[in-house]
Amino acid sequence: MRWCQQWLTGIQIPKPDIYAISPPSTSTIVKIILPDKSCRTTGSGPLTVEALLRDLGIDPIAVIVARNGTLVTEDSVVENEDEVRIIRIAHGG
Amino acid sequence: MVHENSPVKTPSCSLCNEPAVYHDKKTGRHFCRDHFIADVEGRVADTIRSRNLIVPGDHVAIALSGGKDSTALLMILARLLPSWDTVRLTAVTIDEGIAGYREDTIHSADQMAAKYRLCHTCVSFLELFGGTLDAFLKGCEPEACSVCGILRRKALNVGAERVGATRLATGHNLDDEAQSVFMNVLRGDLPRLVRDSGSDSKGMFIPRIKPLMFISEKEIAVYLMLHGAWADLPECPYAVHALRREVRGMLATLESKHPGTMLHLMESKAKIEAHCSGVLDTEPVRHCRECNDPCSGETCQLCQLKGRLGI
Ligand SMILES: [Zn+2]
Ligand SMILES: [Zn+2]
Repeated sequence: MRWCQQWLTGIQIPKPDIYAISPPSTSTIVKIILPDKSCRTTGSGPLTVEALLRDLGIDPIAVIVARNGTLVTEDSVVENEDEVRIIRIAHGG
Repeated sequence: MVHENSPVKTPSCSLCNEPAVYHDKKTGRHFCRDHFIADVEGRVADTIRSRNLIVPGDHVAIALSGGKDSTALLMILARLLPSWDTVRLTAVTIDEGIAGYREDTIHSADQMAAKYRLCHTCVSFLELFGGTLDAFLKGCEPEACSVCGILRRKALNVGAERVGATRLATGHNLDDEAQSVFMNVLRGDLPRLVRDSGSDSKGMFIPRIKPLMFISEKEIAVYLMLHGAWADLPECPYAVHALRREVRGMLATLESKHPGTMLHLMESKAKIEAHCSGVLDTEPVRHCRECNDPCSGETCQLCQLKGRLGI
């Protein structure tokens, strides 16, 4: 089991291998880390988290979203080189 | 795409100027980290006080599975209860025997109990019923949740009795409760719809309480994340078989499109309950002829199930 204790506390944690994918060269590409830990990018420019989730076919109620390591609301905007991590909420327990 | 009237990059808290981490779509309010935590804890405290879920002198057994809901329940109660002295907390964990799933969550429960210096008791299906859930379910996986529910109920009662608890607190959240209301309606099960968990024991079992019943699953996830207590745990492998899974999907869609749907379901239940009070619950308490536990028929659900499974 992985406890992500330091996750949002600002402590630098080693970046997972997934970041080894060569970064996009333009500055308007949002990096997305999906619940299954796979990584993709979108070049559609500034958009709200809600719109991003809609584009990805993800129900906002089933996930929480961090932008650059900080939790954000669905009406926040992602743009430029933001890194968006989408975390699925496991049921039960 | 965002054009004119574009939303701000990070909305601010409705109560201060800090960046918001949660947006309550029903009320339209934004919360920063501190105000979100205060709001959740305040609502749990209100639920406990207004319903007398915990009173001075109580010894509360927390049903600590190690999953997110019971972990949040433990954290919130541990924060609230010092202000109500004379209340004691103990953790009770049930090991159903689900290979590949329970090991991680039990480890997590151990860690949480140790961190909060709580006494921690574990009760296993193996010890109590002579086998694991995996073994009992061979060939009847689609019934997993109802079988497990009946066995767990007994195991939790045994655990709470062992530690001498006066209340048994479970981590059921708003989503769970709204799903249950909907499922009981879909099954046409009015008695179960109005039977509240505290009263179904009819004074014979340790009363069950659900302090998180008005906190949504998403709020619980955000609460844990903000405390650095988020754990990426697996889901129960049997959950795929359940009606609840379908109901959860439907309700999630409705809640997204019509914020407040789950709360409205709870309000409907409360209104039906008020109308039915004293009407449905008049059956005299009987005792199971096999195990002597209180029940409504000749034999209790647990003994019927044991007969069927050959336990
Ligand atoms: Zn605030
Ligand atoms: Zn019985």
